[in-house]
Amino acid sequence: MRRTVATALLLSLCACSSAPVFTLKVDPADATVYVNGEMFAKGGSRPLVFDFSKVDRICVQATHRDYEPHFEMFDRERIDQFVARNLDVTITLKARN
Amino acid sequence: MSLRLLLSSSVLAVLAACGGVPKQRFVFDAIDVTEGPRPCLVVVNDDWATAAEKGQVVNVAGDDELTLEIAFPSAEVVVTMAPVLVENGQITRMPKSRKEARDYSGFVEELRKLQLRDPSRQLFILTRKTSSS
Repeated sequence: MRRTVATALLLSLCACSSAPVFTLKVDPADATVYVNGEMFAKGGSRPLVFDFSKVDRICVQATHRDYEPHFEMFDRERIDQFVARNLDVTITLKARN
Repeated sequence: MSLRLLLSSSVLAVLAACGGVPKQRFVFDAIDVTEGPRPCLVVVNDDWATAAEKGQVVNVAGDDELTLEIAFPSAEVVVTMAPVLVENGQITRMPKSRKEARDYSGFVEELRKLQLRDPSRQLFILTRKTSSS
């Protein structure tokens, strides 16, 4: 319930700004996601605001002890493409050899 | 080269011509895939000697971070997070190259091209060296 309220609040706040919001999904579901070097979520899917007001790129990382860590930089150009195609941001980690 | 990078390069060239190389403060940290702190040497633009001399290390004395002010004479600066081995709060052998860092520590270094307006906090997630790496 608390999470739903927080999500709704976040989405309503974002509706007042021009920063695009995407659902960030990660597989496996218990991987840890870091955004701009800070822990963002532990698995599952969560809305992520791509706010470029202070930075030109947004860094998304995901890690899990049984998988290769993932690192990805998103710039405005790339996010515009996601907006145009109405895509979610999905990260699928590769299993370690 | 993207239009943004091209514009950034142009701005940097103008600033450099005026004698002002832009600088940005970054906070570096390194973990491994278990999310535990990983001791590392932070090397800017492959300058291993300066990194060692200035003690640009993270997670050597304990679980900490490194704040560095980095000059941007060009649009991008390459930062290498080089893993090190630590005993009693001291680096056992200071690496002078990526290969040495990898061979001494058993972990794989990570390179990242930073731009002036990148997020100030930079987290590196290092993996163990395998037979193929």
